[in-house]
Amino acid sequence: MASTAQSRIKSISYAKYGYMFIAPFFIVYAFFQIWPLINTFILSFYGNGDAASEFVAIENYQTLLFGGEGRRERALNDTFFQSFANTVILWVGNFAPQILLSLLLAVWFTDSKLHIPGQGAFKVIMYLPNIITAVSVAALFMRFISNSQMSAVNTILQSLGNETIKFENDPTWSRGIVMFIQTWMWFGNTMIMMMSGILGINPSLFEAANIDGASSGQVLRKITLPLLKPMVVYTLITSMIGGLQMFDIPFLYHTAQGDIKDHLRTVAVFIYEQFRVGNNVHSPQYGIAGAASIMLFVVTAILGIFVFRMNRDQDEARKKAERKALVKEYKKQQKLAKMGGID
Amino acid sequence: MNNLKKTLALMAALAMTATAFVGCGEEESSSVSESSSVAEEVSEEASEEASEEASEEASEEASEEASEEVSEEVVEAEVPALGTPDGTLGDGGDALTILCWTEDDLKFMYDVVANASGMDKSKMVWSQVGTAGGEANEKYAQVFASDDDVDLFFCDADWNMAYQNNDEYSAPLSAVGITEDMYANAYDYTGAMGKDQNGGPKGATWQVAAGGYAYRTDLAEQYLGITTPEDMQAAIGDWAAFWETAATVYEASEGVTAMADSLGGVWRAYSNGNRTSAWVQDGVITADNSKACLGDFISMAKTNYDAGYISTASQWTDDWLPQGMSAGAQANKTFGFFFPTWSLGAGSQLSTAEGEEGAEGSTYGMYNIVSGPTGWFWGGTWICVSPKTDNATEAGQFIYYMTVDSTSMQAYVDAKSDFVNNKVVMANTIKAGTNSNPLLGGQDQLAVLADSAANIDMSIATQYDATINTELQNAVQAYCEGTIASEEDCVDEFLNKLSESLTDVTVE
Repeated sequence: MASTAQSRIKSISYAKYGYMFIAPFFIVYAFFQIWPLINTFILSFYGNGDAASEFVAIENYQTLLFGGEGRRERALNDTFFQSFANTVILWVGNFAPQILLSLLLAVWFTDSKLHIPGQGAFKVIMYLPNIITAVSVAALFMRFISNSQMSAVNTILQSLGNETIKFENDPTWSRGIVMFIQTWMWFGNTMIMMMSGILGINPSLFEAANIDGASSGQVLRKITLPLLKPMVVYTLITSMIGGLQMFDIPFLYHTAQGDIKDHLRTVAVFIYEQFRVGNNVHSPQYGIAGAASIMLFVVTAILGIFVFRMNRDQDEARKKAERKALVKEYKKQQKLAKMGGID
Repeated sequence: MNNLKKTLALMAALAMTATAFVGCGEEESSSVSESSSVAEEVSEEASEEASEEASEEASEEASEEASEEVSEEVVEAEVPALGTPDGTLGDGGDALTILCWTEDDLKFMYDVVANASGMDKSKMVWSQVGTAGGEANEKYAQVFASDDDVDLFFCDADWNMAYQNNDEYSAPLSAVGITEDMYANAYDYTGAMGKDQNGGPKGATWQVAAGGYAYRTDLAEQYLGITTPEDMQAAIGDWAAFWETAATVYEASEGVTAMADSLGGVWRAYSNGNRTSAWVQDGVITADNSKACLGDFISMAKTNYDAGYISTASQWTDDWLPQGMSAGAQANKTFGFFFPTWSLGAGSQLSTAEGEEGAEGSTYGMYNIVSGPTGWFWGGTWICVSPKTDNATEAGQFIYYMTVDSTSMQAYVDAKSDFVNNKVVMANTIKAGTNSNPLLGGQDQLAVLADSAANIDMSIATQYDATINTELQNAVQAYCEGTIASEEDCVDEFLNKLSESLTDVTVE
């Protein structure tokens, strides 16, 4: 028999203090994150420039997706699709080498037979580019290889008596450089991810393979890669979300003021340009920028779901489905029984 | 103990919340807290960069020779004394606050205005908003939206119309006792440019930004055998002659030296010297009109760029100004620069182009200025009154002594050797011959540019010109560098980009 004091204590809920403590964060989050998200959605149905308060329904989406009669509509449509293509090219071009390089390094670094000396130093050095801000990295590469006559590569070309090259003007060069920068910045990060994935694999599997006389190629193909799949999928999804929003390097890689090259304009850069066009600060195009943002969000979500579904564990998925079916069946029977009981 | 923990946890939570607001702070620096040496550096950069976005307007063809002396007597017109504020604006506030991005100019102005009006210098403060004109343009709206004290603000010719046409941002000058008839001695275009769409004066300027062509005297002698500015002007008196001379220079220098410093420079001179039609008419840019505005510029640019007569460097990049020196990676790559009045003083573009006196490759003092193939101009800064001002009297005094009063404007010329917006003061200064610019080997740039200044016409300026200039230069640069195949595509690209960024203008 519990005393009254005990039962009173039982009724005290400490949860409310927890809610009170986390409330400030959620209030701020709702105000500065959720509301802007919703507002972006609302703005995408309103006009641009001076007509920002005018409701135009889906006109902005129409313009971006299908163009229209006027020069403005056609131009925006072209630029939008071009920027989507750029985004995909730049992302694929930096993700493919990045994941291969990271995998290779991760396998080497975790291989117990290799014993690479100075591993710690290598890891730190390879991770370093990721610590530097994108702005500094862009500034660095502008000095190294760009349109400028005074960039390192052009200076060398000149001193060898060659013509200087306007690296930003050529789509292959400039995209290649941006891809390289992105790869260089992110492969260290991906490598750490891969290593943690490999270290998470049960070592007895590797030992067993060694005892059975498997070659390192076989170990890689039959053990490491299949078991690393969840980590690769995770990296793929995060990198894809990040890649579709790629902004800083393509935005910063140009010498002349405001001269963002057409073959480097990503969707995020396009959105920023529409949102605040350099000299044109008095008529920001919130509608177009909002619509483009929402479409980018939709595309990212669809791709994310697609990749996730493609790569999830087939067995796991089947089991889950079976479990669900079982539960459903059980509930059905219970219901029947209940109904039978009432009768 | 429990209470202590709770309090600590609450404080930690609040602190975390507070950090979320970190981004909301203001970024302006204020005159009160700034150390002068740093401030000077910043503002030098500022005035340099401000011009980057500087304006584009048009003037009539002015092919007068620079050698022509301004000899005729300029009669000083009587100007009325400063009126009193009409009472629609606040008055009696603590301090006169001025928003600008060129605090270097402000330092001189404060002395001039304080001496002339007897105003207490400590009553005047400025607020540096951004370091470039474009940045100031973006940030002014934020400052206006806050409750900060603003009495006057500076606007670049590029975008002053956008502020003047908006009553929310600018009050009529008449409200602080400034009337139109005070500007009898001013250059005509400055008055027109300072009016809003209803014709009411909203802004006044102290500056006239006539442009010229600053060339290397040593290269002129070496390649052309020319020793005087008069002969130089004769050799480049119009565009045809200019490109002919360019060919001579290019050959004589074995393909090193280009006549024009950048495509942007040629465009400024062409656009503000030879264009006769406003870009936007009745809210429309028609194909015919854009053709009329462009004239033969694109083909002229392409031909001469390909021939090597226009340097491949872009304006405002690191490649641009070092071309003016005689050593280094960019040595001797240009014969001269298209520069306006504000590029010719100490610490300005010309002094960067020359390098420090005595340094390796320095061309200090080895430049002369002539008016060049066309009379033209570039930019200028207008002063506007904020409707929220609480110092109408002082605001009126500042504008009056900076833009109307001959005595104080003369003091400003003597201090800063700027080309001021007062014909009498300029005529007297030129006549007295007191202005000698060491960067130009002692030449008086004011005398050379006086004719161009007298011919500036901004009647075809529109508030969209800043965007138009940027997009056109990008498109033409791309065409010249070969990334755009034909002239037709170049115009198309330019109009496409324009149509994307201008929401209230129809581009056909």
